[in-house]
Amino acid sequence: MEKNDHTLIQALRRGDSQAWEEILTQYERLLFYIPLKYGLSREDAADVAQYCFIQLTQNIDSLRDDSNLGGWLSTVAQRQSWRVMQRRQRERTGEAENVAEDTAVLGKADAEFVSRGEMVAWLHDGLSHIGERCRDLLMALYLDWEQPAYEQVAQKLDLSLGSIGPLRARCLQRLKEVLGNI
Amino acid sequence: MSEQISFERLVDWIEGRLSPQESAEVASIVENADVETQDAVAWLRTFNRVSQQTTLLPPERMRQQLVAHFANWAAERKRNQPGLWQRIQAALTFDSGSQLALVGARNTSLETSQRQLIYSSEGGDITLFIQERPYDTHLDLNGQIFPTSATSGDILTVQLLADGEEVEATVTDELFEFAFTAVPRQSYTLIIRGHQAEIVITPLDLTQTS
Repeated sequence: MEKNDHTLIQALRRGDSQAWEEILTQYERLLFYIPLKYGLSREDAADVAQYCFIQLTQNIDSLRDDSNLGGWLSTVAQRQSWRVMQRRQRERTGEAENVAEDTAVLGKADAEFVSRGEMVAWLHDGLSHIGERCRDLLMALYLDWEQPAYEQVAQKLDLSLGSIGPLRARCLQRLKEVLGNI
Repeated sequence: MSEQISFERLVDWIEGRLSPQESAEVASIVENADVETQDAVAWLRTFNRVSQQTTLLPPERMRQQLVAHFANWAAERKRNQPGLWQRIQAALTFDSGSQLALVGARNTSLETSQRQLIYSSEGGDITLFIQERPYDTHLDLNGQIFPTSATSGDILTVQLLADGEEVEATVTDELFEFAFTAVPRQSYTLIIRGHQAEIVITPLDLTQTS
């Protein structure tokens, strides 16, 4: 059973590693996604996410027992993303045009001035509307840092290897329809 | 979609999963296919390219590093038991609203008014700016903390409580500044928490701005 924030905070203070793993599972994707929405690279996004979790351990005693862990972590991620974004010099040659063009082909209306971060957010939004099974499959096949093979994906998602191809196609079609409507 | 070719087949073709012969057959069909099929091909090619440049899942190594970090942190924490937690009450040392009242001045500005409060404590000094909002009756509260070693750290947690319940919470930035927007006018308790101490400002009366 998923523990609530109060229980997790108290468990972290006691050095409970299981509570820590639960927090990582609950929040690692969110804290990785927030910097991506700011247009940061995946390497910077991983650094931001890591920073947030480390700050949690440094500040665990300053949180009240009834603190909202997700809210606190999100705020730290947004602040740190903003700092990194201001420090970085981004190469803009041709990038803006490619992003806008790609986003238009993928189905977004008014894609003329879309930034890379906005495109990522829009894709993420589309994936959240195609059902959990499709979302997990497409994330694993196309948007995973590790780029796993079909066999690994099948094992991870508890699917038969032969079902991945047809399911992948159906999910991509669904994503195409959804992106054209949001 | 053309009856001659399925969407799944197109995906396999674009991702290079077909034999050379099969791939050539599909290419020939696509060349003369209807608009819907051409559109699907363009979409799949673009998605393939975009997805190769995009990652939405964090790397596994990040989790492994964080698990190791926590193990070290927990061990260190066990060796060095944290000291006693300090709760420090801050005292109001400056109120711009009181200053104006003392000299008989009224705020006659047509712009929204602002009030400055300064609190002092052993844990650090806090400056608050309470600003009226132009289009509603709520207030914006901006603050900055000048911490001491007891309340220092990269991040301080700032909580706004009413009747003992948290209304809103945030964290400070690198200048130890924080902000709450659209705060209803009432009395609050403000708590700033650092590593070993918290500074308490109570009551923080936000019923007026001047």
